[in-house]
Amino acid sequence: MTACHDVAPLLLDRSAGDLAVADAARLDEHLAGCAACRAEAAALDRTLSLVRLPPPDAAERAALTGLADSVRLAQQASAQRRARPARFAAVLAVAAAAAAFLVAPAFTRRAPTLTPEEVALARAAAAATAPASRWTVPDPDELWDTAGALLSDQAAATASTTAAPAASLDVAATGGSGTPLGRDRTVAIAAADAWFDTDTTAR
Amino acid sequence: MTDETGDGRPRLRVVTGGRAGPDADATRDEAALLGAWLVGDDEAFGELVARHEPLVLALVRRYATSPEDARDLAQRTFLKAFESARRALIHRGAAGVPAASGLGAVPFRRWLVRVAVNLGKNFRRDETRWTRSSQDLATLPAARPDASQRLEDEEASVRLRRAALRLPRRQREVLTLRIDAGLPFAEIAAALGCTENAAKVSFHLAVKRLRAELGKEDA
Repeated sequence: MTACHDVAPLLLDRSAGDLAVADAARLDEHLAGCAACRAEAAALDRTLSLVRLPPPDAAERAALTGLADSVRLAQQASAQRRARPARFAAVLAVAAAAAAFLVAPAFTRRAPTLTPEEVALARAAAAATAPASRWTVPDPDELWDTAGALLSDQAAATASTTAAPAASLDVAATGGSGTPLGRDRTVAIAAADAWFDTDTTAR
Repeated sequence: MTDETGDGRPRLRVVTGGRAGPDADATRDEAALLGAWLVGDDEAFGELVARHEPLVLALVRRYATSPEDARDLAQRTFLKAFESARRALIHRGAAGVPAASGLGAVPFRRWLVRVAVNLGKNFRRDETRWTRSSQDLATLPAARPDASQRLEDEEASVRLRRAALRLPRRQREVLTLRIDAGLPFAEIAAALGCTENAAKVSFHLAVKRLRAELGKEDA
């Protein structure tokens, strides 16, 4: 015994509780006169009632009490877990910044802060002395030799002209302090001054 | 639902499609609750859980093997849905979408349905050692004159509930959303991302399979 073809979808809608009001009266009228459709409707009702879950029993209701609180606690724990990596990253960032602050001076050099005019002036001076007068670190032996040459020149000049006493040269070399520095050292200072002047001009 | 007739008597009006879905006011109210929860309002959180707890429990009971499992599934369902809502609200807030405009409202109820169904499905998949479910735990009827018939029905019920879990995914989802949660087909279609007609066809096929299972056992 099968249901009538045209009302079969309505029978399922009825069992599912989804029957439109407009169709309800028509179906009731049909069921009143059709035993096959009544049997079909009863079978559908039985199938759906059997597959439905029984209402929660006492044990199930007891297990489900306080669900909101447990969800809230679980959510707070989840939020803390989420915040943990962020806190770690923040601490790591602060440590990295501190390390960079400490180490950076070893790798950086302050850039000269010259005005364009100063730069132009320096370039002009360098061009005037370049390239022969490029400064290099003086050799101490050469410096002493230069001092010796100056001494010889000075001694020759003294002997040939005014023959000034050597003591007066010593007095002049001490800057008026009265303590003689010695002839060699005086000449060395003079040579160093000459070298310094040359170097300054070159730079 | 009642309407007033001309003579002052209430006139009953049948609303089909099962439980009424959330209307616009409820949606706006829910958006306000979600907004309050996002800024730390515990009462709004409790209200949201209490409002949707019956729906979630009705859905996860089908898949749970014990009351504790049902509780765990329900809790995870809420956690996932709240997390999704938090991300969506923060994202939309950052995008400058006002919540009151409706565009900023998140489909929280729909997410709950989808998450519950998916978690239940995963739980069943992982439960390879499954031996009995809460459906098997239904207390047997006491000895009464019609005890034989009731026992027979109970056994058939357990068989059918197991068969329901073996249905194809879409058919099982539509069946549980309809008979466990009582959702109207329109809301089922929205939750599952299909048309209402497709949801009805899936329901029809599910019932057809279950009837075949019942007939096989009866035979």
